[in-house]
Amino acid sequence: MKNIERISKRVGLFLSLLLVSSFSMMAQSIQVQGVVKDKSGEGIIGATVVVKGTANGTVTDINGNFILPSVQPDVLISVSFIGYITQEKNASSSMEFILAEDTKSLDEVVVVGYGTTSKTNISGAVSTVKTDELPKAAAASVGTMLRGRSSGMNITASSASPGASLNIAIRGGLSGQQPLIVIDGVPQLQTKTPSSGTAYSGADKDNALMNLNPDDIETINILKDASAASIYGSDASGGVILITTKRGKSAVPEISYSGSTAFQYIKDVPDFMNARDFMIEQNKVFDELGRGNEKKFTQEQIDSFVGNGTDWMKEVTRTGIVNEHNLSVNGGSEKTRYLFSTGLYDHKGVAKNNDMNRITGRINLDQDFGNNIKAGINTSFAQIKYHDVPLGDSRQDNSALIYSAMTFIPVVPVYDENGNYSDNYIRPNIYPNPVSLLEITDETISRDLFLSGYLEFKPIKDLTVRATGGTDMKDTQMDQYIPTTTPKGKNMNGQASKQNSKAQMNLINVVATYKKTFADKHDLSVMSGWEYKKTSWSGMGIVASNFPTDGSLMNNIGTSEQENPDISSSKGSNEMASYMGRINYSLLQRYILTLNLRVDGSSNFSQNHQWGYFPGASVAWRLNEESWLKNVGWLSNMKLRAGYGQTGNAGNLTGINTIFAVSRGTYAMDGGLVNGIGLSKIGNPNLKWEKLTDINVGLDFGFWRDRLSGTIDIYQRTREDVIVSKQLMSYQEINTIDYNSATQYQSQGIDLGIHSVNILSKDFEWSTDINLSYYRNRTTKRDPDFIPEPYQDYVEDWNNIYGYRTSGLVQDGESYTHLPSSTAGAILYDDLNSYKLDENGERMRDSEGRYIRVEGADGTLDAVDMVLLHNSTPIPFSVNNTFRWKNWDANIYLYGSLRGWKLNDVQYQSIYGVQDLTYGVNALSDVKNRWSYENPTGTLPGVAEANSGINPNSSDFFYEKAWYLRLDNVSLGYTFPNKLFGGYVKSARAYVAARNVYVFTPYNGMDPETGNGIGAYPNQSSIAFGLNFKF
Amino acid sequence: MKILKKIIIGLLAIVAMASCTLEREDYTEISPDNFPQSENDLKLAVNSLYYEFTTGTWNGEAIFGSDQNGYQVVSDMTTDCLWSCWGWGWDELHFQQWFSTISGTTQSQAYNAFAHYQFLSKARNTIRRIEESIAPESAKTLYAAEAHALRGWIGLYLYDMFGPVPVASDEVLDDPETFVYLPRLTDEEYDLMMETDLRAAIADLPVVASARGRMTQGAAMMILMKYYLIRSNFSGAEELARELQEMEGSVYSLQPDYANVFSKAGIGNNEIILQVPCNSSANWTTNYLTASVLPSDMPWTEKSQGWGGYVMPWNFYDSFEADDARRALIAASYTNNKGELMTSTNSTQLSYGALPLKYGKDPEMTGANSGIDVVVYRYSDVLLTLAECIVRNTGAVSTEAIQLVNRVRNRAGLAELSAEQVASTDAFMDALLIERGHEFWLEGLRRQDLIRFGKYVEYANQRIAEANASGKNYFTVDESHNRFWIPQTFIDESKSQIKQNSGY
Repeated sequence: MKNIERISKRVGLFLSLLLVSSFSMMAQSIQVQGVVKDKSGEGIIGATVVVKGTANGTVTDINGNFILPSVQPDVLISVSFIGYITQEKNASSSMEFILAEDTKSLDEVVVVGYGTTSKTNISGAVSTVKTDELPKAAAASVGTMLRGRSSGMNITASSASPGASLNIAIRGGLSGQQPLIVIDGVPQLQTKTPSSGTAYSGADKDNALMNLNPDDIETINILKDASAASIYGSDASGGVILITTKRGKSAVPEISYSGSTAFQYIKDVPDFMNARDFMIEQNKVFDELGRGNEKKFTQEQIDSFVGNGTDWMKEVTRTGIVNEHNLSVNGGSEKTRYLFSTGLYDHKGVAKNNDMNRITGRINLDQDFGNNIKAGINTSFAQIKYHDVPLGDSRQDNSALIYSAMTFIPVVPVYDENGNYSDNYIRPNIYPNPVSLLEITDETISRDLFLSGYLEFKPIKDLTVRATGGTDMKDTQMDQYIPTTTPKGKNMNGQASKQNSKAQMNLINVVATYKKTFADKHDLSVMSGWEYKKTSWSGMGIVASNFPTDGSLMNNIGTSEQENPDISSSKGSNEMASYMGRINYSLLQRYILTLNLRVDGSSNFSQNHQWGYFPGASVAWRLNEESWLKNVGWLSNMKLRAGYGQTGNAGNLTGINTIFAVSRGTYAMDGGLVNGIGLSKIGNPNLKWEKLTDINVGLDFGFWRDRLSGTIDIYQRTREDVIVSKQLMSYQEINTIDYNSATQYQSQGIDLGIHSVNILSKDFEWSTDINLSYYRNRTTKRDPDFIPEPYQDYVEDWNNIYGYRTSGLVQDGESYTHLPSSTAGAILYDDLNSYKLDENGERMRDSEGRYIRVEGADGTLDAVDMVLLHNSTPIPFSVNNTFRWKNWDANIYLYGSLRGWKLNDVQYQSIYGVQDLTYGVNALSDVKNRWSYENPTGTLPGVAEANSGINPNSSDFFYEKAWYLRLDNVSLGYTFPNKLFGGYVKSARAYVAARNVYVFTPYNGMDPETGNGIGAYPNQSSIAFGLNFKF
Repeated sequence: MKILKKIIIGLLAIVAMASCTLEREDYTEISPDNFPQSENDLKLAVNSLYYEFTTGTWNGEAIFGSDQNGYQVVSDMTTDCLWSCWGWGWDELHFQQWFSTISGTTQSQAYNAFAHYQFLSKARNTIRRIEESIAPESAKTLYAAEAHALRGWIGLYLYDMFGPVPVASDEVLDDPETFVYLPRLTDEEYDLMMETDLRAAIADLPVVASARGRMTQGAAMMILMKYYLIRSNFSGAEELARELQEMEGSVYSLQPDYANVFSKAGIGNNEIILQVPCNSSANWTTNYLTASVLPSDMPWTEKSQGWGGYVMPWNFYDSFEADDARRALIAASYTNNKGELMTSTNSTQLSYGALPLKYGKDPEMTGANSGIDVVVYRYSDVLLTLAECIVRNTGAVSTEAIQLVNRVRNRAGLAELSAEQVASTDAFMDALLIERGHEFWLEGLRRQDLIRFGKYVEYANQRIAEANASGKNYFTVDESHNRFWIPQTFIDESKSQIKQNSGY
């Protein structure tokens, strides 16, 4: 809050100075009233109107009208608006400006890495997302907002918890790397937030985009193919996301506020049994197991049980609330431009005690020194605080919050008669009471300071030399305390953990750009640069247990009585140096050529393999500029593109050296732990860069003055020299080594994006965006040592799911030789194939070393019986509809995947573990549909399955179709007429938005996107109310 | 243009600066240039070898874990002396219902067990590093001997479970990137390896270790003796047993109180020849055998937690003589924390069998973690083995042999062997096998004892017949079960150079 105060004070001071200066001139001034229109006579909203040479100015309202209250009569009034030619006129009391379209400047500027270019001159696969167009309510990270917004970029959340990590896969994610994120020309340090404790942990956190306030972002450019991304060389194998933050403009200060409040409600809660059903089913299971004598409940107890027992999910969850406030000021004079912003995002999760809070601040400053020198600074700060709850699928004493809430015995109340947490008395001291887990303290605070500055110098007219220095500092502190009120804490007498990790990236680069147009038809731009980057990290931590009291939590760790508390620390660094260059040439704005080269040197490789060369080349042909198409009225844009490029990847490699490492407490000599040192890695000095090669062909089109426009890209990406941890013979001391394998991966796909303005009239607008991606990732070549499984093809799709086929359940009286341990009620796995044997009875192999299988049962269930069951490669798809009717606006947004297969985890774990009912572990109501002698028509496996010796997750039994379409946003907004605020407010909008309203899917488990495992954080629907103001 | 020149020169200068070496640092790594050099380095290198013998975590693959990966647990669970009420994975072991093809608990257990053959390479490389180091000769001799003994220990367990395994030569170890598909050693080659390692260890190891848990001469002799027993080299075994017997009094003795050997107070007692030293503060150095047995509602120590699984089948329990002091450690019933008497009629666990709570109470036990050392080999085994070898080697029951057995019986508060039991070698051997069972339950010796006496499969089939009579559908087993099958993964990896054990 202090930040906000400071900024508002400064702004206030600035405003009053302005007022004073205008008062002094009041004597001779006039009031200028005017209107700004386009050629068709429509008023232009938001055009900048200034008195030339001063900061005195305003912006036009929704009808294009403006008022300048006090202007000297002889000055020039200048009106500008993006996409139009700026007009200047002598001031008079009533003015009319009709702006002409500027065809050249209509051309958007696109950031392409170490420079910008105009959209027409782009020849690679680059897409742009404007954050204004994204619904922001109840979304902390720009990552969640980008879901489905760009074809070819598939973003999925692995958990629905606040601030959870996102997987960003550009073009199928073939490289296995997350995209490089570059903010205002400086790459962000990529780190991973370690888990705060050893016993329990929350969901993985979003480290990529969480520290950016979405409100600060102007545009996002995505370099999808290597012909464009190769300028970032070895860092770019996962694609590049270039983020440009908002900057100050030479105008009167503009203050923007946006705020929203959202309420979140749990959306998917699986149907677990209530107390009575639980008791009935438990008794049945005892009978089915032939252990009827051990029943825990008499019929009388069941009949007399009052109520439904404890709904544990209800006990540990609540209505979530998200509050968000953003305030920014931007403005400047002709020489100085500034932007200050601050934001607060506070999220109380739907799980009790689970919070996330983010404070962000930003200062972007640009200053011109004379005509040739310019400098600027970008500073951003983010602090994110999390309070986590234990999550995950661990069982028994390690059970986490949601898992416990689903499975804890429903017949006991939260507290027993002594006021202590009730225990599962059927099997005491093992399963944690879900509510007791809320007493765990688990805090993470991460701070990020991102600083960059540049100095730009134009020694001659067309040459710009720009030096940039940047640093990104991240510091994360993680604290955890498990009190003695939880079973785990009780065993350890309390456990405290404090972990700290620091990381820093320092970067410097110098880039020279020469841009010139020769003879009005040759556009040439040449860039050349050098960069150096050093990344360093360090960390330390301590985990101790055995505390005299819970009272100090983890804040007095010295009071631990533990003999050997776990202490750790680490430190390291690596360096990279690079050269890069680019030539962009365009003839007649019709034929475009771009050439890139990046040379990277990394300390991760040995001297002779240190340098990698990453070229990129692309061409484009703007057909609509050809004379034979120029006069085709309905064709407004037609650009054919083709590109080739390479990026690199250092893999997940940790070095080329053979090293020994200390292992702590290897053995308890004399009862005390001693350390040991053993070989931990064998180095491979011959390691070299992985290479990704892209071929991309694309078409950009626009019809009817771009009322219908779109982009299609077809690509092939090949990943070679893949650095993998090669499995050496299992008898070797260290049986893995990093090496460049002969394995080749390949991705082929199509990205399609369509934008259509369906209706465009003065009062009503409706536009639709559709994005669709289709791809296949395959392994196309294998390492010579690789032996495929009998069911595996040599060329194999990445997302194949293999397993046994099943034919329902084994029925009473049936027995199968291939299922010697399966009795009635167990899953009937199919014995489909057998090994081909030679004359000696030995299994035969084919030329690839794979066992040959032949159709026909052989009386055993083994690897040859596994077959390709499904393929789960997603087909990301999204549809966005925006509407405007007079001052009203609305948005309906759907995203999802048109294909998917997923194990129904909740059902699988409930049914498979049905015997655990005897321990007092609750299960899904579905278990009532299990097979038993009493219920021989049951379709789900009975108690016999657990004895089959086969895990049903390696079969098709619990797999379900999991395509989905999420109705992610439905919002309605109203922009207030300016008159309402008497001109003091430039714009004001109020809106209501419903987020994650519904998921269309055939999948019966939890959320098809985030519902991974039985203890997954429940996904939520939200309703948000928000306000935006500009002064 | 002058300015441009300056800029270009400036740029070139930066470029020149940058083209020096790029460096990577990681302070948690130790370079082979610096290790191992000193005496302390050798000790650290050998310490890391001991990690192979820890008790591990519940989900680990530790040799002394109390789950299905634990050598001792598998060795007892597949016999008449140990069972569990936890259902399938355990019944699979107890009734020997394992298959080499379908995935199952025993499958992953066998995989983990066989995977320990890697340790033979690791120990061999460590021995070579020690020999090449510049440390003082005395240190090199000592630590190489420890490594030899540890290598022999794993060698024993591998042979015990699978028969001979493939062993890499130094040349193969020196070139890890070349794939050499090794067949299994022959029995003779394996004998040579075991002899070489363990004889070197016996020659150079101290009689008393510098710290409890480190290898000693006696431990190495014991390992070699066990190997000889499996190989039916009873004269070799007798020789070693006699050498160990000579150490009685000076190094080893028979403790007067059986229970004390496994108690907190008895940690480090001189009946124990080899133990896995424990420390309850670290998960991988904890004795879990108590928790595996202890019912969750049975009062034990203040912070103990029981998993309530393992039992001694009632048949075995009933075979004890009523006044056998060793039976006193096995609970046939208990009073739970609500004051109820739990017996085989109202407790699932007791309906399977009695509670073999061999290890005593550790007041510092928190959760499942007890700090009492896991006993591996002890002196009473030397006495009984010597008795057995004498009879096997001479074909007659000698007074010496009878006295040796009686010493062990007397210590358990039992009378001497009856005239009938010593009347013939067969009767004596039958009595001896029973005696060994009663003496060493939960110590993981039962499986090899039964195999050596030809009863392993026979007893299993008796259990199977009984279970089938009460509705199970288990298949009967044959002599091939005296060895586990080699997991298919390793056979495939070796391109079928590794041949499967017969019968699988």
